[in-house]
Amino acid sequence: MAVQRESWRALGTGVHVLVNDADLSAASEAVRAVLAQVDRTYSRFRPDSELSRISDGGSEARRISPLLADAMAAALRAAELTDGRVDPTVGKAMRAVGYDDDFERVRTRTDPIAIRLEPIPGWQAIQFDRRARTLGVPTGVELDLGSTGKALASDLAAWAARAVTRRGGVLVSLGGDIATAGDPPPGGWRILVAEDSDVPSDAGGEVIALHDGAIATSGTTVRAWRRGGIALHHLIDPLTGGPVDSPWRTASVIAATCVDANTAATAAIIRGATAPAWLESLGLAARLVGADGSIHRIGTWPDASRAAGAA
Amino acid sequence: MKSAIRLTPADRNRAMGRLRSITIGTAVASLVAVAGFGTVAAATNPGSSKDDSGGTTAALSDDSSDTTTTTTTTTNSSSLKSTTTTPSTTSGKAHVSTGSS
Repeated sequence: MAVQRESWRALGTGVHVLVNDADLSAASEAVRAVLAQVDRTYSRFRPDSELSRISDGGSEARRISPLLADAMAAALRAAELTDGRVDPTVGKAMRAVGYDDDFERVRTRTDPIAIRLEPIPGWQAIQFDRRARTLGVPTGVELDLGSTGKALASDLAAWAARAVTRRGGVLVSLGGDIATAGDPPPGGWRILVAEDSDVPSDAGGEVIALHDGAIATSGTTVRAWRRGGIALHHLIDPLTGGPVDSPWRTASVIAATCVDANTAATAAIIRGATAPAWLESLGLAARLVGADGSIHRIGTWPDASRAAGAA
Repeated sequence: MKSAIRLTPADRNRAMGRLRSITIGTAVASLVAVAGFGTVAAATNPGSSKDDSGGTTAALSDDSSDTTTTTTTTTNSSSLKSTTTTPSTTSGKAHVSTGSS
């Protein structure tokens, strides 16, 4: 059976569900259910989301849902494993640079804003008990689970879809954060590696075959906007509280899970010059695009020159 | 001035016997030590397996829902993990694009 696909928009980004030898409608239904629950639970832009209610409710630790507990665990683990470079306490810094609404509205604003940068509070400020499922956020600290949250949604959606189809394989892409579960098609899932996830898959360019796991891409060129003539983007440097000035404009990483892939990709941009050695030390396959457009392949990332027809 | 000690064949046989005992004893002690070290190492090293993603069970439910989908996440693993198979090059038409969003 050929690979089948269904696409739509959710969580402010493009969603693609692909199945190999499996029931597409069942897989899509499972993915929609997961994404709806993610939106209700930890969207930063829904005032009625569980995360928003926690943020507005004072610093006292409160019991949270299993899904928010998983999202918090993923975010705090990412912070710990990247020495705080991927940190969920960037919510206030995001608002400070103008990212305080759905991105479609953010990028159409042009009026100047006064930006006052300050280091972020840091993930250690969060009181989180995984076993008891309680979360305490100090007053003034705003959470943003955007970096790991979307990747976790991809992982959960792929696994949920595979659980209901019970055969074949599933691929879920949320804005270019791609998770797979089950059996890939012959030759693997073919992924076009682009800087913008909205680039059509038949646009031509570097295509790699993914046989298991996940791939995610972070960058400074797509979720970017201008306010009062100042170029801004959404990857915050925890040390300054402002958009990071990195030698890399895009990082794609392959890992066992989409959370790990996204964590490494985002951390690579923020790490800057030390990113290649760090990724190498972790044994992760990665592709970095320099600010000048130069391509750097790390670890077991495939050499595009060996593939006929590769750009 | 000291003179050389003259050993009889019986003395030589007794010496050889003692040497054999020491050799066997050392070998047995070495085996016991290796087995002991291996046991301790196996008991203290967490190791890994295909299913050992360091994961926990995540419940995709809220407290008010009866419908629960459980799945495994890697939110407890102590390192960022690579895939089990190596990605490869391909010349075919892509199924989907990765990129920033």
